[in-house]
Amino acid sequence: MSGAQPVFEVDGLKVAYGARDAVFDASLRVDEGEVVALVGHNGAGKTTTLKSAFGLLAPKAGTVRFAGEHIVGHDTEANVRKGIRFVPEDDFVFRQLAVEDNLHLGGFAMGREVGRASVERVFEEFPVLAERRKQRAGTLSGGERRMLSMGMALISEPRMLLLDEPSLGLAPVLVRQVMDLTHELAKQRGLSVLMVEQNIDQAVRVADRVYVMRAGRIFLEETADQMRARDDWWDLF
Amino acid sequence: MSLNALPQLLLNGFFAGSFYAMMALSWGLIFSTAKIFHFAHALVFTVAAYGAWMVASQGMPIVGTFIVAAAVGALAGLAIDRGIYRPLRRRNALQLNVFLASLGVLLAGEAVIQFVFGVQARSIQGFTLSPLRLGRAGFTTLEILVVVVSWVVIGAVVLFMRTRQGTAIRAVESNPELSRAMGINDEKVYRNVFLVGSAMAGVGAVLFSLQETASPTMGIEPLIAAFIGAFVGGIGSIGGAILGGLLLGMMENLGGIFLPGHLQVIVAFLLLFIVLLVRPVGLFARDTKA
Ligand SMILES: Nc1ncnc2c1ncn2[C@@H]1O[C@H](COP(=O)(O)OP(=O)(O)OP(=O)(O)O)[C@@H](O)[C@H]1O
Ligand SMILES: [Mg+2]
Repeated sequence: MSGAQPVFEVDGLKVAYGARDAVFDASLRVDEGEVVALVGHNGAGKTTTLKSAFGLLAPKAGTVRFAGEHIVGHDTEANVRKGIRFVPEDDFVFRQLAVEDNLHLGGFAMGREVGRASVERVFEEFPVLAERRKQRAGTLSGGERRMLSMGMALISEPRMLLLDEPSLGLAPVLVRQVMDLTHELAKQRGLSVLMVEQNIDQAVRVADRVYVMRAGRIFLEETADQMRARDDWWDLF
Repeated sequence: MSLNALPQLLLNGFFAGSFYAMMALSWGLIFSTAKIFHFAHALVFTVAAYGAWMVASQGMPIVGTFIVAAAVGALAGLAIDRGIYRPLRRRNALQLNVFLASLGVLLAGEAVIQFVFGVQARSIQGFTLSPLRLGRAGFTTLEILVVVVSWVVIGAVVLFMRTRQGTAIRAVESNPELSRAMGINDEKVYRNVFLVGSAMAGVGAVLFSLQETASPTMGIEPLIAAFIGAFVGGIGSIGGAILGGLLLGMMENLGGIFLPGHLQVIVAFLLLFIVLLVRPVGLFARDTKA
């Protein structure tokens, strides 16, 4: 963790929707193999931060670096090819398309080298999806859809995962499963994870560090141990 | 007209419906992916027809004429997307404004064609037509050509939609935001739908000009059939557009039982109106978002 190379660095990010500022000043970093949680109340600007760090929104100011290289202003195709993946908080699969097609689309930006073999590799990792490969993604259960969204991101073997509320709408046992998977990806495969979460208990369980956001600003950074030591988190929101 | 005419009307309906099915698919592909009410598809159609007429009148064989028309159509469609729609897209223009721009391009383009080629109708040479009979119904080799070419093109496009690039089109169609998150370059996808949809219109333009004639305003009627077919069948559904176009052709012709020929367009609008009232997602589209 500390001492490791920062893989992902956001500095002084400022984002607006039209004339309305949504994020005033967001700075954070994620080290290699680290799970970092970004928490905060509804409308704090977490999704906005994640999207503009990934290239889905153009920030007004600030820099984003991935593996030392500036990536603001790059399109999502370039960023996916560099090894960054973003999984949105809702609508994270193509509902009208087959499970199989969804996985192919997850690898689309990588070109032809991510093809059938990669899809089979994801099916080995998520056998529940393999049984449903021809099924339309919209007919999957919430948990299966979430797994599919992870498969769509992992198919390109990324180094950096940006997850927007991966626990949203899942039953407690599935929330634990998704968090464990995230932890495993970081600790066993060296992926770096930046995860927006409302389920702070669960996020803090697997995270190394936590940033807290309020009204468009990141105002606190703590280690997960420090967070766990608190009696409650209400004063943070 | 009596019921004795039924076999003939069914046959005519199938001929017209095959052509409409191809046109509905071509227009519907562009509409559902780029979300543009592409009125200027009629101009693409017309430009391709004139391109076909020019090479056919120089003695180009019919197969070559189809290829030239498809290429001219594809280029015209791409030019309209790049020159008109893309700048508007970059400025996040309202859909209504894009529609108005599309209408403007059509009117301007028709005026240019009329200025260059004059108002007179042109017919495309190169196909010798002979009559055939099936029981009590009569038809021609030209109608066989229309059916065969339409369904070959439809089949090719259906297959194309299962390829890598076709899957990306379906992705942008069903969820543009997620497509961008996946790193799918939407501009490339728009380029592909305009190329494919406009090439289809080019092929359609030859079929149309062989049956009727090429003239500056020729594109409107097939355009209307195309979007009625696409809406009746269901926007965003490939099968829907095909069946919608086919149904439209059948209904228009069966309407001949009650109505004189040039009132058939009433049937088309009646069909559209009823579908919009009763089942606005289209007859053959999936009803749910699931
Ligand atoms: N497309 C948009 N247009 C205008 N304002 C927006 C848009 N998206 C978000 N906002 C506003 O920006 C602010 C931050 O929104 P954001 O979605 O980043 O919050 P969040 O922290 O992710 O909230 P939640 O926990 O509810 O997902 C909110 O006030 C929101 O209303
Ligand atoms: Mg959010």
